[in-house]
Amino acid sequence: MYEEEPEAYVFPAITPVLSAFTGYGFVDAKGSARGNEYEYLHNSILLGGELKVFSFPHRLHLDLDLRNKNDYVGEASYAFKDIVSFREINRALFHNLDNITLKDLDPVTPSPGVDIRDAGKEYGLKAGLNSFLLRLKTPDFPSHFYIDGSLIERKGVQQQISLSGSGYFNDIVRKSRQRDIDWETRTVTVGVNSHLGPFELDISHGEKRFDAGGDKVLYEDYAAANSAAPRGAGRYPYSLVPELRGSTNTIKLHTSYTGGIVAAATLSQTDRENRDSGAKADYLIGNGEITWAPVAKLAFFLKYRHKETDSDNPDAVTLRDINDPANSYAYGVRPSISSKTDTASTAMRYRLLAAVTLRSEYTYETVRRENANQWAVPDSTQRHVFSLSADSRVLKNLSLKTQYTHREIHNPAYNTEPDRSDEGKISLSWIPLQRINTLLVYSLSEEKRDALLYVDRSGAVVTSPGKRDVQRDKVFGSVLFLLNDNLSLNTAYLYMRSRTQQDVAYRSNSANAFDTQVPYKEKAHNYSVDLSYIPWENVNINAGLSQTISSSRFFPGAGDLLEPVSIDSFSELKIKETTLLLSGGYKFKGGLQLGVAYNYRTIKNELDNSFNDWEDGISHALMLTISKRW
Amino acid sequence: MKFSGIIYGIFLVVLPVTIAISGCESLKSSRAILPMKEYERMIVGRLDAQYVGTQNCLSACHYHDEIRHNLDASTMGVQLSRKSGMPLVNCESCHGPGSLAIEGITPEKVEMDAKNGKQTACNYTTLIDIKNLPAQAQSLICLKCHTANATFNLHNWNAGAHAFSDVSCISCHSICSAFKMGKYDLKVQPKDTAEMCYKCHQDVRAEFSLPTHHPVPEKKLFCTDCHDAHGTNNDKLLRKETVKQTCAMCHADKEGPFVYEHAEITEDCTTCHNPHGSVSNNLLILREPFLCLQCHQGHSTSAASAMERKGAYYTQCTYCHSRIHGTDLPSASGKGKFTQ
Repeated sequence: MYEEEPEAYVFPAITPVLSAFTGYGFVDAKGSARGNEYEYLHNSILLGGELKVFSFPHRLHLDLDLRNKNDYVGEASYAFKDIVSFREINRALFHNLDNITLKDLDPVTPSPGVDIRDAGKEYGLKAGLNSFLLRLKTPDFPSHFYIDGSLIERKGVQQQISLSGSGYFNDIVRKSRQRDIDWETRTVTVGVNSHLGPFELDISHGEKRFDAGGDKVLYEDYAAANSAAPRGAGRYPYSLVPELRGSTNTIKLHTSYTGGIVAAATLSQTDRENRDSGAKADYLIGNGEITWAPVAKLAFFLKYRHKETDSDNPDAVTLRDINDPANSYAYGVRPSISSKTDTASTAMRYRLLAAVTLRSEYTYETVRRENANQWAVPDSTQRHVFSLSADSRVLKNLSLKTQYTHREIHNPAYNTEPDRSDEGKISLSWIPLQRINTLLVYSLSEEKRDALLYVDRSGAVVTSPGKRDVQRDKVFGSVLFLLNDNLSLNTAYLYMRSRTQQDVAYRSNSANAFDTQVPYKEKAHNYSVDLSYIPWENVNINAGLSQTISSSRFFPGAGDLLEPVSIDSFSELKIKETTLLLSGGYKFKGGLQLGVAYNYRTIKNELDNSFNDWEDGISHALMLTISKRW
Repeated sequence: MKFSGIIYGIFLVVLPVTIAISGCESLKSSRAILPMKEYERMIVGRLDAQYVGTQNCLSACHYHDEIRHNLDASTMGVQLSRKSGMPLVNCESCHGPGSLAIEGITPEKVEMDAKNGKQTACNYTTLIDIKNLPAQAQSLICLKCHTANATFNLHNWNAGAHAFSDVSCISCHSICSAFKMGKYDLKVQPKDTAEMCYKCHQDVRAEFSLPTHHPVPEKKLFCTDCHDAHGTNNDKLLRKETVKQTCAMCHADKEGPFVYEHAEITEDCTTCHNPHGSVSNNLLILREPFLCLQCHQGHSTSAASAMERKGAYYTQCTYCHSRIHGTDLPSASGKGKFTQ
């Protein structure tokens, strides 16, 4: 780069690499498809391969892993010198979805009731995710034109649960039915960038479209609703999936001319329009950041972000009976919240010693809202965040990372946002012996809120008498044993715990009521063991076992919520999920290889709670492959 | 907002002004960050080191033959030759000036050693000790060429979370061993991204083992679908400008805008969802109905209420309020209760 080569470099020939495989996959599943949520549960032929051709000035790479029509990953890359660069990734996955059986606890009474129209149906969606990037560079000049895009498809059937009957309090019927899905999201971005001496510039324009095919909107025969804005019986639309269009314009500036000061700025404007209702939203976002490293040990970071959200929803909406257009009703709509958010942060990194680095960060954010009074949220919210962290290599084989974050929030808008919170994290990495690596991570966070606000049935804001406290902690530990050069064993354990305690607001005998300081507890244990073994040069064996046990429950105390049955019993949960993976390969001479992989998954509802929506499921998948490498 | 017109106006003004200031010659030079050459020498610790060229490095020290082959097969390998038409890169571009490393090594010595059946080793301790440099210095070796324009996704690298946390380019990219490891173009293939990220984010790997999760462990979604490790303007290195825009890349049906919005809660999907994994269904951070009862008053109930009424009101709120992300249709009450 700096001096002429003494003689012309002879670029060596790189032999192309080609590999291919085929095989067969056997799948057997019972019970809930959630036992193997992302596996297309059908036997299928397996195909795939890889080709690398690096013959200057061309570079070609093709990779395909085809499990079945609903499950594949393919990648294609091509480059010509530095003039053309192209990359495309196509993949698909299948998502098995629940068919939840709604419970009618008293079939004799029509309301509340259930209307099940999809008994026994199996649901699932194929998601296709395709993306590409084409970048063209001007020869001998640092300027690019690029176009990137994506096509995301969702096709299949899913369950649609909704409220039927009159849809009002005296006539509640929960209904389940099948919904056909055929959705498509397309994005295309076109841009140019160039290196303009002291700084670099990138400017781009993007377009986004979302089209909803299949059952875009559903219809139901509703009974007359005797609400404050009464409507007659009729066949009305529900569960409309609106189509969307939008665009984004972005300009980016970057400079690192001196090496000591680096600055970057981004200004982007995004607009979105709901093509069915005409609702619009504009987002203007400006970001700026400066990094300054006066000496090697010390660096300062300054960031500023401004975000404007301009929501423009219609003032009124009309609901029409599709069988009788004269039977229509116009309703006023409260304006959506628009907001302006400014965020400024400053950070510092200081290398105190060769093995000790300190970091600090302070962020101030202010949010100003329009139309806030109609939503019972404050006009403005201010947030302060302080963070301190230290990384140190205490010993040659022992490193320690610690982090502490404190937040203060004035006028929090929603009950889930605390007045103040503290969070700490400690991570210890230790190599006690040459072939043993250990890691221990513990994090703890606490949130506190003094007053909780609710909007009651009349629209008035009521304040609960109690506070809200949230505690979350998580411990993760792992030990990696490198037993010898061919055998490794990794064991890991995760424990997560979350506890939220706050008042629960409800209505009793037409009056506002509170169940005070109701705790909600959630916890999860995960154990995993992974083994990798290469007994001979041409044989590899891998095994992995993972089990997760998780549960959640809350504990109401008021008689209103406990009698005749505690409301928590409808949602109490305890799930055990087990995964076993076994795989191996045998290499023959000449690049031929046989492979086998077995995957066992099971999900079990430990409580057998007839009210909740988890069902047991079990699946076995066996893949046999033969591959050849040239 | 007629923002696009403003942007194009800025572009049309900025471009000619910049060219006029910097001059076309400097534009064509595509020069690296200054003063890198001196910086390298300081790292080496010997200001008298000189650049000697790739051939001098490779002809003497055959310990590096395999590394050389891997580099040749990589994207940067072709840049060893001027015929590529690309900016020239050689061993010394990253390892620093090599004159001290081959000091005293002559063709005669190499030949003599070969006759005696041994390879001539260079004094590699005089080169830049890349593995033991501070992360920022490691990255600077790459950034001197990969300025934002050469690699424009580095636009926010310097102030990004990874650079701030002492993660360097070589933490993820293998320059001289990628081909050997079956990788392509110095970077990991998408389906193997998660394993690379787990090297540091092992606790996130465990979160993906919870009962509901995005299919990252199944290698059907990639960490890079949502995150850009090179730095972004957003928290968590999210790929898009906001949480909502990131999630709406795939979940556009929930993006809106809608006639009836769920206040501004839906601007941040993580208020209710944990995208890595959760105990509750649908990646919810807490189980319904408690999730909703945090902010909303529950329906009318009492000790005298029938069990089925309690069940209807306090099982899953979203069975009835099924359009909770927003809707264009009014509920039976004439309001936006997300039931229709």
